[in-house]
Amino acid sequence: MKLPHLTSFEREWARAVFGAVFAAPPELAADIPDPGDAGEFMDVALARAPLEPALGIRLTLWICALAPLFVLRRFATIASLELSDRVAVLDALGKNRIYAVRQLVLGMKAMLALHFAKDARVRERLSRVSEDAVPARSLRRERRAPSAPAASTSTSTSSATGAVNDNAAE
Amino acid sequence: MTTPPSERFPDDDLPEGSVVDGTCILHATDDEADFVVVGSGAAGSVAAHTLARAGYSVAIVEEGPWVKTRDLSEEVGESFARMMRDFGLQVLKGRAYMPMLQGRCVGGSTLVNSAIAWRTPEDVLDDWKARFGVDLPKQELDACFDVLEDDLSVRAVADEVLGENNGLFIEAAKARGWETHVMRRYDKGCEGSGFCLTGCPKARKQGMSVTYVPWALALGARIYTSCRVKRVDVRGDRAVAVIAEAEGGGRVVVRARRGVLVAASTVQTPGILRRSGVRAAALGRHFQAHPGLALGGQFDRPIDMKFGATQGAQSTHFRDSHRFKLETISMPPELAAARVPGVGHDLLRRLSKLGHTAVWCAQIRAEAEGTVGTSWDGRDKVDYTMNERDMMAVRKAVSTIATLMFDTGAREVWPGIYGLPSVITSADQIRLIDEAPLDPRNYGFVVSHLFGAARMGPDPRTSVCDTGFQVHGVQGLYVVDSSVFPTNLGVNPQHSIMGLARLAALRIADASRYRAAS
Repeated sequence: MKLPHLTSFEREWARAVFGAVFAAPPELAADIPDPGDAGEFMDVALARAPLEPALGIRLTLWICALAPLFVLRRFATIASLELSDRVAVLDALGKNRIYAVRQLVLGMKAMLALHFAKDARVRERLSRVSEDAVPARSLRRERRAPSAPAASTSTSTSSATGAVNDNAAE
Repeated sequence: MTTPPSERFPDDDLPEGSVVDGTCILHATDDEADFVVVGSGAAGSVAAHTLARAGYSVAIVEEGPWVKTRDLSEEVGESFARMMRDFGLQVLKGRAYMPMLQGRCVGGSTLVNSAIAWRTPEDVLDDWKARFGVDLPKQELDACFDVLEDDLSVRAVADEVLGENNGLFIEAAKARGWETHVMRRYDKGCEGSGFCLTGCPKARKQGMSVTYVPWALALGARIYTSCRVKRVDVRGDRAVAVIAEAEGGGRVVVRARRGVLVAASTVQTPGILRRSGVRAAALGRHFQAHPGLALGGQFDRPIDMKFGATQGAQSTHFRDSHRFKLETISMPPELAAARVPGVGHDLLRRLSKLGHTAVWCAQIRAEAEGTVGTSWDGRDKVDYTMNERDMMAVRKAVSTIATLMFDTGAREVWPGIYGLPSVITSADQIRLIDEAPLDPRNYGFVVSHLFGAARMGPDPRTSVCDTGFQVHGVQGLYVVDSSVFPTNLGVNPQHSIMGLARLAALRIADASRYRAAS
């Protein structure tokens, strides 16, 4: 058994939630390409998911959508709020004293993260190492370029390997 | 992921006719083999290969699809949709809800795990013998491990691909004087791409879909993919066939001349046995797990989790004293995002420093037992709640990881405990963790190591299978996956699962030969 597709207003809620959870600050906005329609992503995910998880996801969407009423005491849905208010509402839900609420919202965040980082350029940007960082041990660069001097790594890595085979004898 | 067409992988060139794709089975299909194996994960594939090698004809029935190496995706969402049970949305329910990750594809979880090899610890074997009457001779089991390790190129993570997430952990634990190792893995030339969790793009990780399954097919076995086993047909007191439903809609019946080996995992095996008429009192009971939890920490120094062995370092220092094992885990951004605190700009600012983030985790050897049953919508379900002693181990593990992170210069650590600050910035704040509540709902767990629910033992009143892996009272029906384990292990289970599956298959082959001769 499958749930019906998301309605247009549910898709709008999904976009609003996604836009708030993954709102890029000005210094990052240019680096993060738009991953596409979060409403469409959510609809496809619901269609593929088994019934019980799909029900949970849909329930979470409704909780997020109607939360302004309880969190801000304002008669509005999440989609009609300013970004800062949406962020405040979702932050409050994530810290809610009711376990089921905060767990469902965490699940929604985890699911939307799949959409947010599906573009390889986003993953690359997030994983980037600061150019001005001073590495305490530059393991990676030295290992990738064995001809480069590697003195700083020798102690830790060789001692690590020295402990390798203990578990084989368990 | 782009693979040059010229590069060939072990799952590219399979014997013609050896793979029957269930999505194409529209009508009733019959087949016959000496042995039918249910499941192609760590247990099923090893058992199938062992039996095929012993000269028997073997048919494997696998619920999931065959996702070939060249079709793997770096994208976590897409990978989970194709290779994980319930798209990774499966949960274990109790006082807390814990995501439970299981592969659902040819190779099972071995396609999406970190390929860690740990022999069954001796204290576990001693405990099984003393408390449950399960005597697995160490020498016999060691011989199985020797073969597996040779076949699957088990080796320690090479220095060249250790990566900083692992290297830093080893440095920190060693500085504290704790027992620490690099992982031993099924590794045929790992390049440190960090894609273990979405499937190795170069087939260097020796998962079952590029090793024992193709090897069994080369020995004449057949595999039915995308076919969900409904039940084992038991006539009188003997298992005679496996009945499955293909994704294409057809009914698949594979008759077993000599026996059926169920290796569908701890969560699915009990349901199959139940639907097959097995009524043992212990069926579905005594489920155990290693609940895991991960902590992130941000550093000034680069960590660069996208390079290096996904899980390359570990410490068993607290295994005996506090019942947890520490490990590293490099998470792709899509998975790390759920662990990063906050929403909006705060979240994105932290996420943008993933290159400076380390993730270390703990596997808890929990004492708690749960049950595996059937949910209202007919799917398998697990009820499980950790007890107070387990939670004390959890709290100690979180505090220990936070300590290690601050030892090595973390700017901030994310304990992930409800009721505590989501970010702590100094070692002084670790006392908050030490005083954290012992309610499992305050923590974020993920479970992937599963045991029991069809445990073995000599007494049919307290076990499901006898010590020869055969279901009590049903001739020719065997269980060879981790559901037969009387307890959890305290170490990563894949090697034990494979070792016991090989041992079981060798014994079953010998017994079958003896019966035929007599």
